Amino acid sequence: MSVLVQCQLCPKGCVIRPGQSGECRIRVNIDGRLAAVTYGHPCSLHVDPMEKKPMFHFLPGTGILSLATVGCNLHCKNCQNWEISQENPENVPADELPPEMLPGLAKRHQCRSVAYTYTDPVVYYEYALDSCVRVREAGLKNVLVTAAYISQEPWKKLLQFVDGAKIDMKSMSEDFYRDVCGATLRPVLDATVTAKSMGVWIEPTNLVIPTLNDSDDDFRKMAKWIVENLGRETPLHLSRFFPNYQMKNLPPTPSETLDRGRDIAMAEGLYHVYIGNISLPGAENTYCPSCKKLLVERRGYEVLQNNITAGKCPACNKEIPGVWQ
Amino acid sequence: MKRRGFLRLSLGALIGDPLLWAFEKVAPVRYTEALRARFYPGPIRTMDHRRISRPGYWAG
Repeated sequence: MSVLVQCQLCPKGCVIRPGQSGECRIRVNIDGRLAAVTYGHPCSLHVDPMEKKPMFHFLPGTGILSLATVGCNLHCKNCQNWEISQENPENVPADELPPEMLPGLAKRHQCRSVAYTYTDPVVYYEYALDSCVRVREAGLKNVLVTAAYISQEPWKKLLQFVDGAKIDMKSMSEDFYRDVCGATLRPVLDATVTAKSMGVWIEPTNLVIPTLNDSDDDFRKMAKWIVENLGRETPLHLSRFFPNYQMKNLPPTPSETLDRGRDIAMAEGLYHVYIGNISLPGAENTYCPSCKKLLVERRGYEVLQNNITAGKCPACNKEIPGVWQ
Repeated sequence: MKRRGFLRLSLGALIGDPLLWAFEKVAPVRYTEALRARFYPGPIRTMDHRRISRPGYWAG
């Protein structure tokens, strides 16, 4: 019997010695078997506004029970949540919450959906999978907030129970993924297309980092790829970067850069491009792509008005894709 | 089969079999799904519904 195990959950394919973990810190070789040691133990558990994910075309104005365990398979130098994503479970307190208790907890806090977020649900895959099954059975919805760096087979299995996904599209450059995140781009694009093909509602987010992924060409490439592979109705979120973790040498993203990114993405054909992590007038509102009527007005994480009626613009009757009910 | 062919095959098996056996011993066993561990290696805290009802500190 071999004592080495190889985890094939994500494209890294870590070969793990006995008693050690993969790069994610939480998938451990115990006596020649791979074990997920954070199963049923979220280190972070909160009711967030849906807009915080951000998901703008998915049950706007509702609360979403959001959970994470420690660990991540990526090691982004700019990680905003590095204190839990790049930490060992031994050092982080956790709640005890088996999947079967999750729907009850969501209902107790008046949530219609559950988010697997903060770190990356890919690494606590088994917990997310079992939870998604229970949550779906209870008539609630599941949302993944993920970098989508995962192998195809387990991804497809999980997606059967997922309603929405906020996918981090960090860049369209392999070099960026390698140098900044310790990963590769291709599996992320493949996973995103797979999610779309399985009917999951997708809202990609691009954290715009000065000098690293903020050129006209960067914005153009990403928007073009989204239009061609996910459809022009897919909302894109451009998010402001703040210096953090191992990337404190760069300044916060100027608002002009985000404005420029939005203009380029919309010129490429995207209907809905939002700007987040910064307060810019109207940048978080949803407008009808046809008649330009204000459909959803937002300020921060708050929905001030929502005029979408049965998934359509009340003025011109154009269908606005999303999960509204 | 001629005697020379038989000897070659036997020699190949004599060398190849232990190599295969040794490879099996050191080659990793592949898993996609992990065992659901029963015990968390870190500290367990009491569930606090007031904390849960507030938005999380973390991004996402």
